[in-house]
Amino acid sequence: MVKLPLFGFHLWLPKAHVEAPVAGSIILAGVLLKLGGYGLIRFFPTIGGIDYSTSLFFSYFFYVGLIGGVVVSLICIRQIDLKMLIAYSSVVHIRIMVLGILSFSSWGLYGAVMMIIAHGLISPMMFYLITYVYDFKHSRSIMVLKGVLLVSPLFVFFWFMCCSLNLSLPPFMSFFSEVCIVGSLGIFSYLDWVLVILSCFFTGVYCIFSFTTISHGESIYNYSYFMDYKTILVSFSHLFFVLVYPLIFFYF
Amino acid sequence: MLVILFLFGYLFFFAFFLNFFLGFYFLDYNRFSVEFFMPYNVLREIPFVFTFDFVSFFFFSVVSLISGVVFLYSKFYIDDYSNLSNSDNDRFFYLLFLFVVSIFFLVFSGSWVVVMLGWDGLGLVSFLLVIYYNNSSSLDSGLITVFTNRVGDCLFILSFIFMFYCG
Repeated sequence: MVKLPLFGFHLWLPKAHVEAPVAGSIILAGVLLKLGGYGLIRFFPTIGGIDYSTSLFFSYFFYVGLIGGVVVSLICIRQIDLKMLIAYSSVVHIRIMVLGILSFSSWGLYGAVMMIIAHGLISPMMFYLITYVYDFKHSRSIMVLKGVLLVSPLFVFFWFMCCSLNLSLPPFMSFFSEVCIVGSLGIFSYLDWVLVILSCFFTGVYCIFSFTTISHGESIYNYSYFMDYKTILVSFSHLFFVLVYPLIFFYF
Repeated sequence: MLVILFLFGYLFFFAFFLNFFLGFYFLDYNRFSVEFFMPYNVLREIPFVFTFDFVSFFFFSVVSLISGVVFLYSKFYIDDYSNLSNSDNDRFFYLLFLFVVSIFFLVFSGSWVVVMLGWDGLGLVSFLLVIYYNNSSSLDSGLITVFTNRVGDCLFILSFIFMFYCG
């Protein structure tokens, strides 16, 4: 359960993401966090699908995940370093997934599995785009990175697709995973619904924030660089896979 | 670029008349549903249905009239700045077109899947249109736009809980 960043144990994640090189961050975000979720999914049927109200242990994890999700997304809005922002967004997504698993319904399980896949596709791409900008400007602070919209609109297109997938844009997979997980929480009390909705809202806030800090404003440097073809190829193929995969999922 | 704006302006005028007369055709509460049937496990009831009703036809006729006017009018105030640094005029056209497509999904929807598709797309495209010029006042307005849209989104998702558990 440490691999899944629950609230007390998530402190390793932002530090590791910031210091790691590109490939390390990509593998970390894409694969490693999901192993914790996989462990939870495999582990729970052996304990027994008991009712939520009779087990104090699981309700502890549930509320830690829920309240921690709101708190971490609030932290995420005030970040200066862009990589930390994405790291915290990974934490929030994993929390919501944990809520889906712990709600003991098959719908929540389905939504959690879908969110695992969706998150594993989106976060590596965001890290890839950020390190591309880091290569050019050698800084990750939001004070320096602005105004990429005027410089290379293609990059902003990829970045906008990533940010909007982070906040669950409709025909793609993250939207359906969020709906399934939220929809499976119907048996709980009213306060839980408020917290889940708050976490959804603040997710939208920091995703839009991360989009505008890069793309808005006027650029400090001259607009004399553009995307090289390897980056375009990688991002486009990744994005194509992310967008096409939900349609495949529908016919699963 | 100019040609495309003219073309879509007149296309949307034509769409206005078409939808207007189709609205009168469907006036006796007739309905025409297009359903995309997805055969998989029954746990997820996610019906992807379009419904062509007379209400939606009238609504979209008004929308297409307005968007036709917008396409024709934007020719006059977008193309003047083709030499400055903060102008990519193609993006404006794509954003307007995506806006009308989102409204299409929102109006002609038969289930909540398509409604959410139109709603989220509408919010984000409005945000992109508002921050089209890169100055700080447009950024403030754009952020207010997208946050209020996000609040509506979240409460919409909350209503899914009521729908799924109370019949």
